[in-house]
Amino acid sequence: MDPVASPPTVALRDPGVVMRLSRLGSLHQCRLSFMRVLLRRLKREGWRFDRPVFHIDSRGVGHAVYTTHGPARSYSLVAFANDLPPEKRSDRVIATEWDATFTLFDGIPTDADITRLRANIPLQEAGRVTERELSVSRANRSVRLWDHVVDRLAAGQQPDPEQVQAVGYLMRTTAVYGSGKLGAADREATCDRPEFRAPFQIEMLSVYLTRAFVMDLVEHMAVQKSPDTAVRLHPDLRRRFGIGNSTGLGMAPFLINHPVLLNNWILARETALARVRGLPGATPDSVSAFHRLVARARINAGSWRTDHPAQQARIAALRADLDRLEAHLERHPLFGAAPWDALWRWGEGALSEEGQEQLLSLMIEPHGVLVDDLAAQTSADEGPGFAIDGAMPVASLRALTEDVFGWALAIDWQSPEAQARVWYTSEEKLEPRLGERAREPIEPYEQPLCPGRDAARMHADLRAEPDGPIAAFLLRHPEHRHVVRRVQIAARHPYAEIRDNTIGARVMPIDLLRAKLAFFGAVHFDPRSDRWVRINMFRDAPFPADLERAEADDWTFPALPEGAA
Amino acid sequence: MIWSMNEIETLTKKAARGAGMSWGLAEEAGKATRRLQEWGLDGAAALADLLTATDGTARSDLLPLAVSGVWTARGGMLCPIAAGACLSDHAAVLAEHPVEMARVAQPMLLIPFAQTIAQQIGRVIDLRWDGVRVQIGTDAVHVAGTEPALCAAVATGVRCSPGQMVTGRKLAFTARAAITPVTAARLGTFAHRTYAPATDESRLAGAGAGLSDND
Repeated sequence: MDPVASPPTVALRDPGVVMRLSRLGSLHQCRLSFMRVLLRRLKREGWRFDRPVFHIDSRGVGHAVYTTHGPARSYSLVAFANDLPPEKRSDRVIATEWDATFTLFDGIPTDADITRLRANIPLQEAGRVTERELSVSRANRSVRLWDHVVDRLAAGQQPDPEQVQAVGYLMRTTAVYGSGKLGAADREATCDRPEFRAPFQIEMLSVYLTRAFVMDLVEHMAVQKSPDTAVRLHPDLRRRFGIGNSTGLGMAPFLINHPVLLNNWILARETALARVRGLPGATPDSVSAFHRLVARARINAGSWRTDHPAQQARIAALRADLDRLEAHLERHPLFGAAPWDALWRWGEGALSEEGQEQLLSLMIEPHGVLVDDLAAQTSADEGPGFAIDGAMPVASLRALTEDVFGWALAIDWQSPEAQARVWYTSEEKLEPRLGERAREPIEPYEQPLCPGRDAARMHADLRAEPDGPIAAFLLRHPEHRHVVRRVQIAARHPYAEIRDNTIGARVMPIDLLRAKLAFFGAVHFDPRSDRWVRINMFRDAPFPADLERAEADDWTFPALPEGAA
Repeated sequence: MIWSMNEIETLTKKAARGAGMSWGLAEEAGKATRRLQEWGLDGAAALADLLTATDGTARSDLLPLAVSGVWTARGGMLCPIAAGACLSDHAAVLAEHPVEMARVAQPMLLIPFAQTIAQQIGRVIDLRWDGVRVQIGTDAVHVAGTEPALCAAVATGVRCSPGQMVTGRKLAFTARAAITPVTAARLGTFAHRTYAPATDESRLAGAGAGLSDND
C-alpha cells in the first residue's frame, strides 16, 4: 500500500478545540519539531563538524570554536567559558554574568573576530554584535550535577546514572537570541538559505553545538582537576545528557505576536494528524513501530520529574493514559478500516489532553514519508498579512469577529476575574512581566497581549457602526486597528488565534511557553512556577561527531531496555 | 551605530506607542520606519522629529477629519502615520482618483504606505510635495528631488495618485541601518514611556522567579 496515494479524507480539528490554552500547554514534541528538522537535514546532507579551537584554562576560563560545514556554507559556535561565583548565578534576564556565553558565527571566525566577540559576547545584552553573528546566547551550570560529574570523572569513575537521569543536563541556556537582537543578522538576511528556512534553525543549531561544547568542557575540567586519574564519559552515558533551558515570561508574548507563524505551526501538525487518520489501513511495519513507540513513551513519562503540582497531576494522567492506550491496543489491534482514525476517536473520549496530544505525536511518528514534507510549511512570510483590507465591509468584519472571537464575546469583561492580569514591560532590563490589575499601578503600561478582550471591545463599537468599508470605522477608531489586523489574519489562518483569555485570573503563562518549546522539540517540561519552566533539549540525540554513523531521528523517546520487544 | 532592521522596527514601534499612538498605528510606524531604512532613508530620524513635534498634541487633532476633498487635520497638521494608514485603508478609492492632503508632517513617512497601496492595487503610486516626486512600485522606489526637500519637516501639500512612468533615482535596498546616537536616544526616551517603573512586588512576582538557580 502506498500511504501517500490516499487522499485526505479526515477534516482538520476545530480551532476551538485545538487553540485552548490548556491544550496548547499539553503539546509534546513531534516529527515536525524544529530540532528534529535540523538533525534530519544535517544527517541527510552530510554536514561535517570540527573543533578548531579549544583554549580553556585550569579554572575553566577561555574560549572554543565548533564549526559545522554544510553543502554551501560553514557556521561556527564561538563559546566563552567563565569561572562564575555562585552568588552571580541567575537564570533571569536581570543576570549580568553566566557560566558560558555563545554566538553562532556566519562562517569561520578570524582572530580579529574572536577578539571583537570576546569583548561583547560575555556581556550579552550589554554588548553589541554584527551581521556576521546569527545568535547570542548564554548558559548556566546545573551546579550539583556539574560538580558530581567533574568529581567522578576526575576520580576515574563514571557519574551516577540516576543523578544524570534526575537532572538531565550539565548546563541550561537562559536565553538564545536570534533575529537581529543586539545587532545580529536579521532573520530576513538568512531565511532564504535552505538550512534556515524552517523556523528557529539558527537557534537549534546553536544549542546543538552548545551541548557538544558543554560535554567537552566537563571532561576537560575533570582532566584539569586530576590529570593522572581522569577518564572520559562512557559514550552511552554521555548521550543521556541533553542541554537544559530555563525560560520565563520573555518568551510568552511570542505566539500572540506572531499569529501567522503560530497558524502555520499548528496547521502543519494538524494536517499531519489528518493525513495519518485518513490512511485506509495500517502497514505491519507501522503497527510494530507504533507499539514500540508507545512502550518508549511510557518510559519517557515514567522518568519525567517536576515539583510543580499542576504538572505532576498532568504527568500522572499521562502515565495512566499510556497504560490505557497499551491496554486498548491489546483489545483493538490496528486492523480493519481506517484504524488510525478509530484509534484517534477512541483517544478523544478516553484520554486527558496530555494523553491526546502525546497520542498525536506517537501516531505521526512512524509516518515520516507521509508527513515530513509538512515541516517546509512551518515558516511564514508575515509581510502580506500586515496590510489591512480597508474595503472589507463592517458587516463582514463583525461576522468574522463573531466567528474567531465568539468565545471572547461570551465573557463578561467587566468582572475583575476576566481582566485580573496585565502584561507589561518593566523598566529594569525591559523584562516582560505579568501583574495584578487591581493591586499594581501598571494598567497604563499594558501590552496588547489580550486579543480576546480587545476584540470584544471592538465588536461593541462595530455593532453601533453603519455598514460600509472598515476604512471609515478605523479613521474614527484607531484604537481598534491592531484587532482589525488580527481578525483579518485569522480569517485566512484558522489557527492564528489562541481562543482563551490571556489576562484572566487563572491564566497559566507556562501554557504559552510549553507550546512554543514543544515545537522546538523540548522534552521533560518542569515548571518552576506558573510563569517559568525548565526543559531538556537534544537529550539522547547523537553528538555531531556521531551523526554520520548514528540514526539521526530516533532519539526523542528513550530506548527500550535490551531484550524488550 | 549600526542596527538590525528588527531592532529599528521594535524601537520605533515602542517609541510611537510611548508618544501616544494606538497599538495598531504604532505597529504601522515601526513597519514604515523599517521600510524607509531598508531603502537607505533615515526614517528613524524622521519619526523622532515627528514624535517630538507632535508631543503633547492630542492624537485626534492629527488625524484626517474626512477623506473627501483635501485631507486636513483638526489641529492643522496631519500625522503621516495616521494619514498614511488611512490612505492605505482607502487604497480602492485611490485607484479611482488622486488624494490631496494639506500640511503633512514628515511627508517622507508616507512613502511606505504608498507602497502598500501599490501592492494592493497593482499600480505605481506617485507621491508629490514641495519639489519632491516619489514613484513607488510594488518592489522599487524612485525619487526625484533634493535631500532637504525629501526630508522636509512639513509639506504644505501632498498629492497622491496612481502613476505609470518611473523616473528619478532608484533607491537601493540596504540590510542594516545606521542610526545616529542622538536619534536613538530621542526614540529611546519615547519608548521608555511604555515601561512600568519597577516595584519590589513586580520584581519578584511579576517575573515568576525568585527561586535559587544554584541547583
